Amino acid sequence: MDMIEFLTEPFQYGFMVRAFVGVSLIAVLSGVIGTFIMLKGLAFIGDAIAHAAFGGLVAALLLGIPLHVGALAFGLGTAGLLTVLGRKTRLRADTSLAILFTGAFALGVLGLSVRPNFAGDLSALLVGSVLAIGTTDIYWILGAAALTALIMAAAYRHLVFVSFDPVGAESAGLPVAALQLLLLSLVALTVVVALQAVGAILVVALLITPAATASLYSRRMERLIGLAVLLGLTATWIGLYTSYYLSTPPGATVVTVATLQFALGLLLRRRRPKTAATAEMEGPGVRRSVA
Amino acid sequence: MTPCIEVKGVTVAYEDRPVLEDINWTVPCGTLAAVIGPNGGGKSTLLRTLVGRLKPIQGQVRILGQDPVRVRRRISYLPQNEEIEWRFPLRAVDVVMQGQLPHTPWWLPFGWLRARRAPGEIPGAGAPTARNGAGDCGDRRPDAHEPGHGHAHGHAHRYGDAHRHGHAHGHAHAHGHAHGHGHAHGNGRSPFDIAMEALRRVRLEEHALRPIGDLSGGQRQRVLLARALSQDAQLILLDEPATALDATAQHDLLDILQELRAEGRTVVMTTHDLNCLTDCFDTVIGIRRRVVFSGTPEETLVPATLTAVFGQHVPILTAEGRVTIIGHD
Repeated sequence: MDMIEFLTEPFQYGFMVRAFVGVSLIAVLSGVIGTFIMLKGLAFIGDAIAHAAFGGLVAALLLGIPLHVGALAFGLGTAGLLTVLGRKTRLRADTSLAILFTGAFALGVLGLSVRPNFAGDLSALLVGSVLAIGTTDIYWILGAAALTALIMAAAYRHLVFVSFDPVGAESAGLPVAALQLLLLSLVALTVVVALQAVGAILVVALLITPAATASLYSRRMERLIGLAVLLGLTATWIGLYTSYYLSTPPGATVVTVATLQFALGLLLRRRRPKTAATAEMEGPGVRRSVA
Repeated sequence: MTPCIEVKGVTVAYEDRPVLEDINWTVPCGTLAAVIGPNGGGKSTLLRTLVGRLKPIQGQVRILGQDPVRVRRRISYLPQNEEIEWRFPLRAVDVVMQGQLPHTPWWLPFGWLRARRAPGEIPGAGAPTARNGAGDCGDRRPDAHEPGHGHAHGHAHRYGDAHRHGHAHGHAHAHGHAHGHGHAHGNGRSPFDIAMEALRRVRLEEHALRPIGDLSGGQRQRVLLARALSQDAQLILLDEPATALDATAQHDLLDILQELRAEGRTVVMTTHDLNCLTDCFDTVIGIRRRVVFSGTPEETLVPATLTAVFGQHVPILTAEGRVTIIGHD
């Protein structure tokens, strides 16, 4: 079989086309949002919001409303409460997060016990199912990507300022609480639309791993985001082709590739210079250029 | 003229415990002021109140004649170093450009493109005072203590040029008040150029493109000062900026602060280093929950005042007109 045929064969199946489009969009979204999460040391948040969204999924099933709506409501609710707790109490972010997501998850489990016959559907959602991405899911992911692109175009620099130095930003009159909530809401949105496709655990990998690999090679925010997106996309494509030809579970294969990228990145990088003086002369992150 | 800072009968409490009680303090524009006092005496609380982060339960704070929250864009607060995520993949110049964001509505699509506009004018913003040139204060210091001081005059001159230039073009939106700043921000200069100019003024232009995490403590402080300049802040508040800086870095910092003062900006910093008070500061306030003392540095450095501020005897040595603290850390 020639190369073209090798590359195009999966696309004769609608579910493979949707898988490629869906996961690629998620990879782009995750690259952007994941960079912020990783830099703030909130890797845990993706997992937490995914579990909180589980409570929303159950609520949506019981109420007979679209699953995405329920998951999104719980995801955004967690983001909102996290912001409120962060400002009104002295609790650390990870503490508030642990309380909120386990609470929401427990609600989900309780709700499920009322209607046990839905268990099958929900476990599929927790683990995710790349090959079951439907047209509606693609629309949700597209919507999330478009909204994120719009917000980033408008407020990217403000979001960076608030993440880097919240105290300085607030003192200078930036609406810090609103911007932090906005960022957390984007995280919630990303996690919820990615949930169906890759599941609660794998979504964390797509958010964090490419951004972490990119951070080994770039110390410029914009380049780091670009590199994270690129790594996420290549992991997606390599993973999905591998999964197609070797019949491995697609979500897990994509994440395995992303993890291998990180391991390779760690092995191949030049050692970071120790002192500021040597940093002037060498080192991957300190090359001088004017943007 | 409207004072830069006007604090009247202010009491601030965390929960029910008062940290500051009945504070009265007035600082004219163009002043370099030091806040001294024992740990836990309320120095940082005073700064946070001035910037509007803490609300007094009694009394009134006025910055440039207005509520601090309303003039936030004219204030720059440099928090203690550990509150900032220095690992962020930003270059020094990126951090300095952040200073222009408060003048940009975040919800406007591509709003950052508008950052090059001149910031709005605030009535009562101070004009440069004739009192002290950038070099005056430093001249009192022994030469041995002035590494790099030779730069100061040249930089002051350069700013002076920009300043006159600004007046020629910028008076259209004046409110009848003399105001010497901000015009350099207009005239179609890009945020990057404005940031580079600010970095030049804190003598860090050669480090502009380095990751912020690679800079030393003193350099990071100066990057934040450059950010304040890029914001065109009239009031700059620094919380313990000299802590963890070596003597050279402290002098560099104070040199720059004096230049900013000479431009009519007001600078307030908390400090533990009593020895530098007479060299650089115009006014000193001693805080131990209440205002224990407020006056000139020379008046501060007498045993009775120091004992009142710190609640213990602070041994001092007077020689050749200079007062040296020998027993206080």
